[in-house]
Amino acid sequence: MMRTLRQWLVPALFLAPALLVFTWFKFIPMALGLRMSFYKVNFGAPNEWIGLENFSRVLEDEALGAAAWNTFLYVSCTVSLSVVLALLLALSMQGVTRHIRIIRTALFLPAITSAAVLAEVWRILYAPTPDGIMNSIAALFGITAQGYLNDPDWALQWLMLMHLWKSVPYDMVIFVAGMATINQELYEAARVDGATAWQRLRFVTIPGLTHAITIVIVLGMIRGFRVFAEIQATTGGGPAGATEVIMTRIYKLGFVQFDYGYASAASVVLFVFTALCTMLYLQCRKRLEA
Amino acid sequence: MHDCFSWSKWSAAIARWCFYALLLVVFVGPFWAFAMTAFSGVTLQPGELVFWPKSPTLANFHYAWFKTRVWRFLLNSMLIVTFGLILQVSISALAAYALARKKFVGSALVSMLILSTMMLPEEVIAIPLYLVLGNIPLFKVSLLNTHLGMILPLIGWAFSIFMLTEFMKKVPLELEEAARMDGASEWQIFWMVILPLIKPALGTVTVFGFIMIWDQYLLPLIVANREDLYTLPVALASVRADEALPPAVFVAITLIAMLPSILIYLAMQKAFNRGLLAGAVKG
Amino acid sequence: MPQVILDKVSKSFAGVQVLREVSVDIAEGEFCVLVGPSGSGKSTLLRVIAGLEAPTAGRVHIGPRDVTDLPPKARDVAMVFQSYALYPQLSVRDNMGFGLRLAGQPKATIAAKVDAAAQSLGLTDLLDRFPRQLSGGQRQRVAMGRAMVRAPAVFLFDEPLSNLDASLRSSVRAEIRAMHARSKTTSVYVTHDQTEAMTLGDRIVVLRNGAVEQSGTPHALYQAPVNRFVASFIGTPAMNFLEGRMAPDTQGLLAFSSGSGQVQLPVPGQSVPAGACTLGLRPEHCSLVAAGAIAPAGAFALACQVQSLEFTGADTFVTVHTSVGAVLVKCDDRAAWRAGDAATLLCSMDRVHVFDAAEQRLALSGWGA
Repeated sequence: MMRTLRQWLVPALFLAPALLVFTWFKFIPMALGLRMSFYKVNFGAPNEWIGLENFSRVLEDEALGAAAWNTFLYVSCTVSLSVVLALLLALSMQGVTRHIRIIRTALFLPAITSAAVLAEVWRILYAPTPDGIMNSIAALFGITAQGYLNDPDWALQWLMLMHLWKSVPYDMVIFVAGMATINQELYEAARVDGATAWQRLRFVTIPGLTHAITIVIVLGMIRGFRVFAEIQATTGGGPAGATEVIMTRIYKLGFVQFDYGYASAASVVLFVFTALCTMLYLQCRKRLEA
Repeated sequence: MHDCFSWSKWSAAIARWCFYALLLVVFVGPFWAFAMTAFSGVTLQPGELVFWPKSPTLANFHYAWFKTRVWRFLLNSMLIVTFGLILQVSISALAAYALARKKFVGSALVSMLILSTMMLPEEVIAIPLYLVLGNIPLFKVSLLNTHLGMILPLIGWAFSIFMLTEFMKKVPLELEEAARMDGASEWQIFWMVILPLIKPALGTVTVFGFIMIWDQYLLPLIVANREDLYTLPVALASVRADEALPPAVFVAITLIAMLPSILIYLAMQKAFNRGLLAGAVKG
Repeated sequence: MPQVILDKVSKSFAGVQVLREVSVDIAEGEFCVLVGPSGSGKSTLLRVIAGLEAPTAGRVHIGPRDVTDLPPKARDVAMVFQSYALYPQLSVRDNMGFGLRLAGQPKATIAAKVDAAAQSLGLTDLLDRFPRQLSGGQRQRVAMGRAMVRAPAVFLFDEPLSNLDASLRSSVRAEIRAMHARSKTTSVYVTHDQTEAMTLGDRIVVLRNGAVEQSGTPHALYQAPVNRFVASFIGTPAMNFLEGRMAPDTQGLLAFSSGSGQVQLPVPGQSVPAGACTLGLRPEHCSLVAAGAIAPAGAFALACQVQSLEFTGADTFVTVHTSVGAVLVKCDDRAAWRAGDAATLLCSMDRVHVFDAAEQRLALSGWGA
């Protein structure tokens, strides 16, 4: 008996710090959040139990629904465009020559910028004045000056472009690495069989990248639904809710309106949704590896 | 006589390089413009950038350092990154040792538990985390408006634990047994045998950890109420709001904010590329 | 006083019994070799002595102490691993001094001990190199040096020569022998190679399926293997086994018959109980002479036909076909046999082994032991 207990002594000591941090700053908040979602959280007065009322409110909330729709648009456009563009870039970046490696290194810079820095850089690029960078480029094509982030109709799309600027290099590097693992002999066999470049792409490259593409898509989706910092730092959800996404809405509910119980309920719903997506990802991966 | 000069090859090469140039302009251009603007001495409109330094000078940085509170924000960021990184890598290594080298009942369960934290994104637990930080269970202290409050929630990171676990698993068992025969205690095996052999992995998690901590936005936002506690990335918005601030100085400040990540990345290329393929970078 | 005592040690892994009540006494200063086929449990037994595995039952004593519940570092043993297990990030010097450093010995002492060990192993020039810069043989010597500097009560060797080239094995074997002669430390050595066992061991313990088949000196195992398994394991090339029956023949002598053949053995018919048995003949104890030859006194003759030959330079191994089975005979390099030749197989009776139906060795009364 002592021997079986003894096997835990060392692992417990080594795991303790990490588990303590996780408990205090992940598990307890999660449990607390879950509990709060069933209450109306009052200040100065005890919390009222309202059961599932917060959740039904979530389902009927128009502002939240609009935010969810924006989020959905944001995610679907950025993920699909990012994959396509990154794939094209990766194809053009094939090769191990020093020049290409330097270019690849440089191209990766946007991927390591913080969300806040990203926001400031693009705020400047998106300056609505006629001599702002984007407007200067637009002028070259004969397009009139735009309001960009101040434009309620297009602000979300401009944010998508900003996101792509960061995500395309990142996905490109993943695809380049994935391509390197494709057996070169398959290409040679395809050439001997008389395949054109397009056919080689379709029948060797893309199938070889299925794993990488799946990862990029699913992780992009999961992260996309949780997007917060880059939106908050650029538009804060404005103008007039045009760029409001789920997390910026929840942030407002919690830290501006202090409606903790409701905000927690919305967070729980978001969590369940992303957890389902994660499980979907794991299932897809299992099926791929079979 | 062979004709080595082929027009189609030559024009294809030109097209290629034009394409690369375009890519560089798109993806690296803004960095370049920011750098050039930061070192320019001309007065600019907000939102204006230059692409080559007009009257090169360090005046913007001078202004930023001495006439704004940027030094304070930078200090906050550096404090948090330094201590946060040290703690993060340490407790990740300790946890990885237990998971990788020790057989015990429930190790799979613990792994799953740690994996689950990757599915608990900080955005989703932001509000209850704020409440917990305001009144830590058991200790009954508030970590709000403290540096500690901006550090502690970060130091548990499943990504670095799993990366270190993978590398620690690869150390041959015989080395550990030899050390045991030589009389090494558990701590000595960890410190003197296993850790030196996974130095590359330690480098990788340090790089990724640095960028992850420097990147933090939501956590400092909810922890810090007072502006003088803001980290640099978070403070950028309020710095920008200062009407009296010359735009070029703001560009210089933004440049300072992006520099550490870029420098770390360039310096640790190998470690970075190795870790990229290990899956998700953050959560 | 015996230095290492294993008292009914048993070990099972996940329901599989790897060691079954193994008891071995190893005397102080003895070089004991544990030998057996893979899966015999010899490595597990070594690890039990080392303290890397805990026995499911039984006790382990080193010196006067019962160390069964003690961790490796408290047992005063040192181990040389099959794959050397050198710390890649440390130099040869630091590798060898690692154990002493952990024990907190002063730097000067460590340096002196490391230098002394390096000198006796010829490693002095390599002290500042790193394992990746060394050859296999050099690495193995460093591993031995690491064990040596700790001057333990018992040396443990886990198949240290398996990863070396054949050419290196004999020289490292000689070094191990020399090391033992110098230090006279009790050593336990595991190998699957019976040649190593025979050349190195003061005593050999043959294991099969987790149990001791026989324990004794190389001579004893070679001349008097206690059962068919030991007889087949010890000696290269392996002993010839002919299955058949023993019974007294019409002349009162012992006849061995197998299939349609029969051979008369010049011993009384009652030397061995009648019944099924196996005849064991070592290739090196048989000889081939011209067809039709008469056996000298104390030996038997068997007509045979040469089937195939293997010339190795020093010897010629001839496989002959007899009426009672095929036999491999070791002849010298001058043997001029050709396939198809008729010959006579001769073997002296004091070199014949008989095993009963239960594979146990039978004593031919009045002949050998």
